[in-house]
Amino acid sequence: MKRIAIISACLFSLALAGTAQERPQTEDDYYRIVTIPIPETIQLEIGGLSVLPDGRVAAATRRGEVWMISNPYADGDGRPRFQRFAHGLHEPLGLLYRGKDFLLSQRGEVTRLEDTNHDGEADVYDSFSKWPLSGNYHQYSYGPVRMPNGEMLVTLNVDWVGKGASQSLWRGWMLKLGEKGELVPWATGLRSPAGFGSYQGAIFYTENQGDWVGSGRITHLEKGDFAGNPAGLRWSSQPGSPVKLKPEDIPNTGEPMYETAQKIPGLKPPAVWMPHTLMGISLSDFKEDLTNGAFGPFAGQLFVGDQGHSTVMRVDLEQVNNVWQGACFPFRKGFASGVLRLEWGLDGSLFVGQTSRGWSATGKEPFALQRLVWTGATPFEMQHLRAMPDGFEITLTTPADPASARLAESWSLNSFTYHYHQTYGSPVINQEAVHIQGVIVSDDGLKIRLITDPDQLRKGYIHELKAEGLRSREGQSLLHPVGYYTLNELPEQETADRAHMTSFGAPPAVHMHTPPTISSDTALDPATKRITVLPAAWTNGPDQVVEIGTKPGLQFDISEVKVKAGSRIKWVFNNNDDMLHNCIIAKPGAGNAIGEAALALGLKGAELQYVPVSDDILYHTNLLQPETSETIYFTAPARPGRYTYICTFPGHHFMMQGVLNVTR
Amino acid sequence: MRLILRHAGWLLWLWPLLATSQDLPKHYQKLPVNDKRSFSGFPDNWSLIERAAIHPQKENAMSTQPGNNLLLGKAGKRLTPAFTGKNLRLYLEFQLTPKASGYLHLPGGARILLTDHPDLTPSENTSGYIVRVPSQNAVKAPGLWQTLELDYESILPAHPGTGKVNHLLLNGISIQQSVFVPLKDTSASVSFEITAGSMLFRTIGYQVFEDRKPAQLANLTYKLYSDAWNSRQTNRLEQSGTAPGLTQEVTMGKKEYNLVLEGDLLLEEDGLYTFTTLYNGPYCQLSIDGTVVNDSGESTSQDAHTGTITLAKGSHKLRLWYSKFPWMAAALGVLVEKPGIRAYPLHTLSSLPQPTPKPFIMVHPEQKAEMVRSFVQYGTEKHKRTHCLSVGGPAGWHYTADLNRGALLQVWKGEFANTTDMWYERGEPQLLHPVGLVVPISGKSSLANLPAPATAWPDSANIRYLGYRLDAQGFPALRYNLGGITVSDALVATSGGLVRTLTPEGTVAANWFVLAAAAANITLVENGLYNINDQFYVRFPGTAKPRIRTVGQQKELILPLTSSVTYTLFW
Repeated sequence: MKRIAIISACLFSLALAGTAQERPQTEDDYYRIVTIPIPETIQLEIGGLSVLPDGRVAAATRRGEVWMISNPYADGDGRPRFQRFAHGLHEPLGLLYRGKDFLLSQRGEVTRLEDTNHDGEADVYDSFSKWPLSGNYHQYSYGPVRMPNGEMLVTLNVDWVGKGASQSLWRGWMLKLGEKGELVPWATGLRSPAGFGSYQGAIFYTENQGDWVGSGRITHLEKGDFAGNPAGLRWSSQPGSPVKLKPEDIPNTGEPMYETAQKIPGLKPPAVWMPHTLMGISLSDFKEDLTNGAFGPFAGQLFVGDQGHSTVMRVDLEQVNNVWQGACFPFRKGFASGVLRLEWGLDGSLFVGQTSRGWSATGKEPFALQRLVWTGATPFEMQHLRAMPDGFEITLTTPADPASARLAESWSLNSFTYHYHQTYGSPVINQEAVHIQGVIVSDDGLKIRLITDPDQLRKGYIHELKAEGLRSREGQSLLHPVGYYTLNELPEQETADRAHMTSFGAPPAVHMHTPPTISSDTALDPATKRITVLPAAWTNGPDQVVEIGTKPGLQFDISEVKVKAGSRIKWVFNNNDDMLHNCIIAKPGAGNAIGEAALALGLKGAELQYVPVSDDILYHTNLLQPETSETIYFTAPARPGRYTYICTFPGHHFMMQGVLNVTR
Repeated sequence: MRLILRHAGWLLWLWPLLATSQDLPKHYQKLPVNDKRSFSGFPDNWSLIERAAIHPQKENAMSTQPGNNLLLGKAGKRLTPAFTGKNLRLYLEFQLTPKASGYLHLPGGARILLTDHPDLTPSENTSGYIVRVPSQNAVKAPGLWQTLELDYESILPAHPGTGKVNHLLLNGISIQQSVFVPLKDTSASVSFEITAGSMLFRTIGYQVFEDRKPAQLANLTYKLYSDAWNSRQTNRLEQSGTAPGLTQEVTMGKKEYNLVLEGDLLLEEDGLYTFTTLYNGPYCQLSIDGTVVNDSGESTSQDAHTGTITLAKGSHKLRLWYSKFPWMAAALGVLVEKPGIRAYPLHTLSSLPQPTPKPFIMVHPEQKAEMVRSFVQYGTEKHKRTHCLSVGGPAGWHYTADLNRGALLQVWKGEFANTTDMWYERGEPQLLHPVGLVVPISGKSSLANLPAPATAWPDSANIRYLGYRLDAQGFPALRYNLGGITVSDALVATSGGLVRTLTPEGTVAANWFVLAAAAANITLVENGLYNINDQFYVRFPGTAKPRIRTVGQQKELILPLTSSVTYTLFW
């Protein structure tokens, strides 16, 4: 029997290897998304999620219900069962199971729910801890989340009044929540802190791009830290505040955050930037992998959700000179709705609670509950990306083909950062190519040392590593060949022994300290595709003025515009949303392809206004800040047809399209 | 119901009217009820009296005082008002005695049921039944003044032999819309018939409509100014010309401007004309012959702004000044109406686009009580109440409590809660709206410590909200801390109203009181039964010791919180 088992195992691995060589690997080969079917009468817009030790899962919804889901793993008859445990709560965005009861944050309080008569429905709704509210919808309240030491945390979202604001006490703060409901302020500078909790016992939280936040990021919060958005500083003089900074202490210069932080003690740069659109657009929950390998080869790392992109990403943190930093990698895309909550299942799978109402997501469902399950196969991935005084060290999950690693063209390394300013978001700034002088590949093919000039490594910068040419021994490329390392500190350890290095030679001259370049073949042609002043020849003005605005939920406010072929159009695009948008006028049917091309612009995207080079693009605006407007002038196409207008900010093009109906 | 909510601001005559008002809404002609000549004949079962006292429950307990003030009808012959008209609006203020029932007969032979039938599940026995069951039972308890508003057409050129109830509002609640009614008796006119009990009328108003358009526009021109949207200036003329009609579309989609449209208003007859402006923008001003008729600020096209002016037959100069701000699509319309003429648009229809329809999301209690925590807009207060719990009972009686203050804000019956503003898209208002017949109670804490008899009742007393416990039917008992003592506040919906029970768990310190009601008028009906401002009743058990105290212009119905306090609210 034993022999048979061994033989079949060998056959199986051969078969696997065989298929692996025949087609490129996909995420689905390693991590499967399993959907938990939801009864059609239930609007399971998940705001809070909790895995119970008895095998059930509890989900709090944005419509104020708490559902108990039995058999969420869909064993046996494959059918989970839903029972309503509580209802009538005000948009709860957290759910903490405590054995005999639950705690959850409603908008205005933490509520304790208990089922004292054991009929399956809560009959006690206690006000565990209450705080004031302004009445602004953007005052979301999250948590509580329990730390490994037993302490509980809550966070309070800022108001949105055309900018972030803190219109009632402790908005923009993280607070510790005592066992008797007492609130102790811990840190501020938070804008939209939907995800927070422990990594190795330290407190981290995720942030969303917005005013004062150039890109999504993960920040380590120690007592008294100020994480960047000044709205919450309004309360730093309150009794109990551990934060000393005042709103007027924060300079609005646009200097990168790391550099500003050198001058403003207390301002905390993030541990890891998760570059906007390249990684995600609205970070949500995260969880440390404590499954001891049940979830695959990334034990001990962080998995981070993204609401807008419907993805889960991966973060590998390390502490250098007592400062947290590390790398983020894409991990799994294709969830059904907006990913908000992550919880480990009892079997080491990851429950993913989702909602997209009011905040559109790549996943088109209004809500979903799914599970991410490791298939047992190990993908070829960068398991770790670690800082070295003279470069980086990659640890791979499976051995590399050393020859591919020793080719200079297998690699590219760039560094960049963002403005720190009141403006919503930021373009990528100060981008620079970092020359890789050479590599050292370990004998087992699992470690690759990338060696650079130490002077080219910039503290506070994001270092984008692309390893598109790297191959596994089986000839596969990395499942995700890109990682972004935020370098806050350079480790004080020995530099690489260059005697063992495969040298890549001197850098090409143009790479050294040149500002970001866009080669002429990729540059836009603004002269014809984006004219922002009334053309002199239009002495009688435009024939038609078209005014397009935006609506929440990634929509243009007008879905179809009719113009006459060849007529002179003044096109006014008002971005009255609270996100960034552009407006591109494209040939019929070209919308999706242009949207994908914009996404593929990667790091250069923001600089190029997310306008890819394409003959299908006829005209375009630039990328507009919230509450701003741009007017372009163009001549409508001579050929009638149903042309497209579209926003190509990454993730928007699926939803944000309209028809430019050109008629005779 | 859905349509009404969506267009509530649009339709002027839907605006809530004070139930206590004896003044007619605008444009109604008064039919004096205290003059027998208002009617074609005056049968014996009808009489004029000075006043009547109607008990909410006792069937034959009406007492009347002779006089010449109110119209009282009993079962018997119909009473026919002395006006004729085929298309009309009616406005009534009336009271019912317990178990009273009757009909409002309409031209063409249709009839509307009016009855004291209290069952909150609408049926063909519910007030407002025509040929369809009304959306809910909006009738009030006997002895409270009620209002009825009807918009009806018995002549529909496209549908011979059919009439149409455009809208029927009972006590301000829309219970029927767009009901087509087969007509069998073309000779029938408006009349009142009582089949059981008695009905008391204090106000009857009517409008008879003709299908004409006596006001028209001609010779329209426009001037487009590039002055900023908030400047209220017309200095920088950018463009001018002839306008094809009254429309903002002459601006060719410009995003920000001041637009002035001018033209001749041609009137076929003298009269009191009402103009309604509808627009998206920071302001809009309508003047006629230099007189400002309408002038209003920031608005969306779902809000109506009206002005009234007396004009003589002939030609007048109309000037409409509209400003558009950059962040909302342009919309501009003007309606005109006069007594006997329904409102009709003077604008080109495309100038006033239909607003995007929203879904209607409602919570409906079925087996057990349903709860919703939300923000609530209480009356005309500037700030939303942010920590509110609304509870809906399957019996159809509902309430909202402000948990921050321990205040019973409002109670209502009929349908429970409209949560569209919470659960549609981002739900930016986060407001719950009552759907049924709502009665405001008080924004103040229901419990307070009054060291002296004259101490003013505080807006917010020194009490702390603790949470709630649900009973087997799902009704919460709210719990508050009063200086160390826990008091539970339970409202349970029964078929006869909302029963509120306040129970201290321990001995309460002296001078804690319960505020059962606060209003301009509180009258004792009988021992333990109070009429609150003609809006609702409060009934105490015989052992309770409530008292009415007067504070300024306000009366307060209070009682000491010693042991358990119970009372019933109904209306």
